[in-house]
Amino acid sequence: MFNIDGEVLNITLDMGLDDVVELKNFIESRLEYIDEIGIDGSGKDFATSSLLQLLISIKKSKPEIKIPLLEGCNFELKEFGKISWTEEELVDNG
Amino acid sequence: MDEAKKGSDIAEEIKKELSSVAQNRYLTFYIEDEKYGINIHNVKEIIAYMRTTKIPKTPEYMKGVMNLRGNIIPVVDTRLKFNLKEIEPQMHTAIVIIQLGGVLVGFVVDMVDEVLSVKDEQLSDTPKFGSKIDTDYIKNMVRSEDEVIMVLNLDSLMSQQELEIYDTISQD
Amino acid sequence: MDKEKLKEIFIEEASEIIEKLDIEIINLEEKPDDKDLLNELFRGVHTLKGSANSFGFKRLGEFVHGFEDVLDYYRGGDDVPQREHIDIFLDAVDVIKEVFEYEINDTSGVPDRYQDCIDAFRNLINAKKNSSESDEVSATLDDLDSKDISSEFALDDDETTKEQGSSNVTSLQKELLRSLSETEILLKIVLTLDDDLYLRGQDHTIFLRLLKSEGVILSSFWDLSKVPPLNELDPQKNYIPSVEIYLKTTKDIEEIGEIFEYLEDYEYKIEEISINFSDEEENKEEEKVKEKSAKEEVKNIESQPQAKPRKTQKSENSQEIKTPSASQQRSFVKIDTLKLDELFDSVGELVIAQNFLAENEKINNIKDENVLKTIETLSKITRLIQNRVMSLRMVPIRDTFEKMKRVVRDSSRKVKKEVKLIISGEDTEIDKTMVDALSDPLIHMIRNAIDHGLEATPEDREAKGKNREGEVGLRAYHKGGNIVIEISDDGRGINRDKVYKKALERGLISEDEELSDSQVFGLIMQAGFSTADKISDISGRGVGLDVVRSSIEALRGKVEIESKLDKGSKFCILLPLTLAIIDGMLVKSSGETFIIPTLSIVESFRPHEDIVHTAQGQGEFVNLRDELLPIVRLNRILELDNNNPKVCESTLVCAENENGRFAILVDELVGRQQVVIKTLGKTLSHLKEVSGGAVLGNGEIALILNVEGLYN
Repeated sequence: MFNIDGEVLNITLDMGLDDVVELKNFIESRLEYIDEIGIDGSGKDFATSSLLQLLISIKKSKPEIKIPLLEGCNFELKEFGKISWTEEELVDNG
Repeated sequence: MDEAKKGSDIAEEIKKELSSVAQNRYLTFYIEDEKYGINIHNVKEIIAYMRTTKIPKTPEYMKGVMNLRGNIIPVVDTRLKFNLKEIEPQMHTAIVIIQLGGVLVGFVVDMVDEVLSVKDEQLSDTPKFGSKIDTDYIKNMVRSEDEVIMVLNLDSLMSQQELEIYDTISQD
Repeated sequence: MDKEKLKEIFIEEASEIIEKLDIEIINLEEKPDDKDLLNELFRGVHTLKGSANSFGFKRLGEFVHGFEDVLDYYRGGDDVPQREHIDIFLDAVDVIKEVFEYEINDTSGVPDRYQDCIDAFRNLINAKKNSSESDEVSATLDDLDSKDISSEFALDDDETTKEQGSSNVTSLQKELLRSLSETEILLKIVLTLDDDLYLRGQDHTIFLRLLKSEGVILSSFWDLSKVPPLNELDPQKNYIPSVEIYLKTTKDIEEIGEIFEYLEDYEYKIEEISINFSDEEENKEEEKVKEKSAKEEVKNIESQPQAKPRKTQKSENSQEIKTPSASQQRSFVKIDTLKLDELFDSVGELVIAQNFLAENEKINNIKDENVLKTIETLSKITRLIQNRVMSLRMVPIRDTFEKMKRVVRDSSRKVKKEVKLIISGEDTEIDKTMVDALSDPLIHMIRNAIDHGLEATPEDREAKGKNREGEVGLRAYHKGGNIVIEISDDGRGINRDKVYKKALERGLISEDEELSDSQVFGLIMQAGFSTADKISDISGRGVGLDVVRSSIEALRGKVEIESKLDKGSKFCILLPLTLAIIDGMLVKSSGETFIIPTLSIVESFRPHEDIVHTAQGQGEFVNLRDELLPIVRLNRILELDNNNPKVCESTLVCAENENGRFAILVDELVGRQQVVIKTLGKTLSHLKEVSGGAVLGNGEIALILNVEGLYN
């Protein structure tokens, strides 16, 4: 699910909610030692959106952390298409 | 009411004891003139003697069933179980509710005494003789000051078969 | 709520729906042109499909989908299902039941008839299509599209102000629109999911995945502005207030909407993004965005019968149900029966405590009007509470009866008889725990009535001057403190002499026994009376009826049989109102109090010396109005003591069990009382004389006697 290699934490996107909870607990106590979060196994899709909000939350708590996936406010997933987000409130123009 | 009060006091004490996970604490009580002990872990509560309803066609020592706050639980006359003579309930007669496996069983005793802390070195094996009751029922002995307390072996006190009966009595 | 809990709820709800399907289909057979009924059936199937899919039960989902299409066809047109179609429907329900089992038990594969049934659906629809090619029922997607657009215009006319906000198409949307091929539409789906999303076992990704299977997800926009810093984050809580998804699909908006069936209304919104290309240049790209709200949905249903309702099970959509049945208008709360039992136990305690007060002499000696009044009020309120709590456990027997329709249909076809089932008293209420246990015995007895009760052929009936169609009656009513369920038929009746002869052969009775008619008929329910095969020669009763009898007895009930040759038979099941409380006669024997269920008591009396006889080696008898009843001394049979009180100084309670009547000798009667039954346990069932215990007003326990075990 996730492994830490020096200062780089590698995770896979297909972890379930329980794993996200575990990951959160894992990271919370070690946040200051982690410099980068990388994604293993590209091409996989999110199993839960909770992981996305966790990553955003991590970024919020430690802005200097490197999360390549999150750079540029969007990324392309194989099955879910292009995922974009805003950290400002989304204006519903529909 | 005295004995009931005493019973509830002890029950309180037991609760405290239980919360501190006491492996070697024993509830002691008298049957005839002998002092017996039961590991406090197995003791659920102590109540003043109350009338039981005899169940037909069960062994003599099966005192019957009683109503414990809406649950029907079986009660054993410990004297009869130990082949001692039956006596009328006295002022201090009490029923010790014991948890055996998942089953509650009441045991009628002459008088509840105290909760006793026992160190391992105080424990000794059961002598082969000198006891009024069947030594199979006794697990080991405790020497405390000038007294000897016989720790009951609950497993042998109630055979598996008997337990099964009680199991279904209290479960349904 | 965790996933397991949700699954439990799903299983429960789905089981309820599936149970109802049978009944609704049978009702539909009676009234094939009843569209309300068809709609109700459709709704059930539709809901089942939605929930099956959302739990990933693909096999169930796929199957139900096929079934839904068939039902949808009938909903749409004037065509009514024929008998052979009803057969397919019923087969489908059987398969649904099986697949459902497969799914919840995680068994792999599909039931035998799974594919056959799906093929049958397809054939049925194809056949219908071919026979009515010109019908617009088989509307193609294009047809639907054009209809959607026309209705959209209509809506725009009267809702322009409302729609104004949405008539701006962003450049992104325009760009996305350009990627569409002709048959594709662009949908914008906005998920505004509650923060307990994950706890409900849902996830944005689940919906993305479901959407993906219906088309291509072009893009999605996530509002992550509400995500808190790590120390405040609870990964099990959803902080994403809104996700906007663009989906390219060939499906229509209703179909996509089904994906979200399990969400609350406010948690999602689907719109179709479209551009009127012809007007594009002139009107500076005037764009229209169509929004489907629940309300419009209803309009759609009315104007386009073939459109699928999106959330038909929701109450706000009930307008489309023209005549909602009474039960749908009432609101219900689901309660775990365990909680009810606990409540019931507590009330039992309350009743005991209250009795204790009421019977306490010291209190009764207080000559204070206020105290006595309060005690009386307390007693009244206690009884009220008791009754109300009791009524919580009661449900109408209707569902159980309705289930029998299918049984009648199936068994009558099997034996090629024409049978009409007449149901009455289906509103009679009965203890919930009993309902479940009653189902099997009833099925058995109904089958028995059809197989063996009715004449072998319609011609046989005609020869006897009866209608070709046999009648089987199912009736429930209250009688005394009991509930009676009658299963009757107008068939051959039971041949008393043949039963008697057979019982003699089997050694169930001896030649010198004098038996009443009902006792003789009762013999057919005895174990050992018949083996399954050779029974049809004696008006063919008795196949496994001993099983029925024992299951009814397990419910503390009994079965009485009446029958007249060539007129028919009637089986009456007498049941206590509830399993938890019994109406009992308190008696004393050897100082102990016992309870005899009043259901088994015929009468009680103090015998005169003259009518008591002792037969050498056969014990004592009492002659009650020329009937010789054996006397059973309670103290002796229970081995309480060896006393031998004089019969004429004791009380005899005349009781009846399967072996006939007998007199229980007790010291005295104490009185009649309702008592809460507490079981003593299975292993004590070796004590065949005792069936349980009850806590009396003074807190002591009295044993409840099992009349069946006292005398044989």
